Amino acid sequence: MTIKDLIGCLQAELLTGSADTQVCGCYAGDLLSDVLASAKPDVLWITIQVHRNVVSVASMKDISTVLITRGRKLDSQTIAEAEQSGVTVLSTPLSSYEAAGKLWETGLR
Amino acid sequence: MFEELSLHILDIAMNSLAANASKIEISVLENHQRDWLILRVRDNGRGMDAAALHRVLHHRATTKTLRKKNIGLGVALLRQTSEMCGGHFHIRSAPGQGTSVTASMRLSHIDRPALGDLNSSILAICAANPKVDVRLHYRTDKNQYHFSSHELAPKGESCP
Amino acid sequence: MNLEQLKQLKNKAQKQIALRESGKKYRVVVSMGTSGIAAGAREVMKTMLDEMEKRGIESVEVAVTGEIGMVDAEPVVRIEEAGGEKTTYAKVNPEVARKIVVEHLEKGKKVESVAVGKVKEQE
Repeated sequence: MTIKDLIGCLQAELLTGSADTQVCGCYAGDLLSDVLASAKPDVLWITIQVHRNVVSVASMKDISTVLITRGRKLDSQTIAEAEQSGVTVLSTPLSSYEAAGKLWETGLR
Repeated sequence: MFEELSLHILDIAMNSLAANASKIEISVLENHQRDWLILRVRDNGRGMDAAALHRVLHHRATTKTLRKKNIGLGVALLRQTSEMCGGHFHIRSAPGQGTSVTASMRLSHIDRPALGDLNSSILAICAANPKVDVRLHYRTDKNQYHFSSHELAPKGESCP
Repeated sequence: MNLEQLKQLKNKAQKQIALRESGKKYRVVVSMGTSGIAAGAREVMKTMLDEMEKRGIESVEVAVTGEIGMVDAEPVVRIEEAGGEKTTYAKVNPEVARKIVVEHLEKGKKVESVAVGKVKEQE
């Protein structure tokens, strides 16, 4: 699935990266060590965290896209790092629960 | 961030070992009166020059090689935990002078992780290199505890 | 963490040293980099030490190594035998760790379902 197909239902804004980015699954988590241990490559990671470590972890795990929930945004330095690392970042006004629900309905697992 | 502070301590100490430290001093200070928790890991390893320190502080895992070396991620995670909990993070290092990492945080902060299983962390550090002198200094408002792997005898214990 | 728990540290550390000093049939190496720790490597190590103590297994040294860069395979445990053979286990959890102690260290049988490879070194 591409991000393009998901932006509508998530009411998401693309902060950096391409709408053609592919995702093949989802992972939801706010504890970075948990994501470091458990997330699979090429997933869409749902989190409320906006610390720059999010980009480091996403890059290390080959996570293709990070979805920041509750309308939170990354600061400009973190966005620049995401761009350099090739990580696509979206922001949605939805809560993590709502976003996960919408993504589950699309069939993403 | 890690779920327990003792995992952060273990992680930072593993960096000390990678820097060929022969002595690692870990201190955990709980000041309930002033609502501070301070963690410090100090080693006598090879230390880092300004460029290396900068790379560690601005950790970026953008290539597979960097991922393998991965010295900075743990430091970045501890810094995040510390700052999220209303505290400060400080790292000092110089070639030939070892490295000292200090992370403070508000004891009562709702997001502050528990200290957790400190024993297992210390044992793991000792297992990593038995020749290294691993010291723990734990102090609260009322108690203190010292451990030194080389001496293997607790000193200066005092109880209420 | 309280003082009573900390006081056990000296005891456990002494036992760990005793293990090192006896003749070793096996060496267990647990990878303990940031990703290993995140995946639960410390708990794996603790489980193995506790299980070995419970079963009175003494001919084993437990060691720890730094980041190995296998972020998706952690926790990783490598068993090195006195004869030079090495077996690597990936994605080890406490339950699997216990199995490794019982099957591999106590009975000498590798846990094939979890092992990812073995290397025999010629002397």
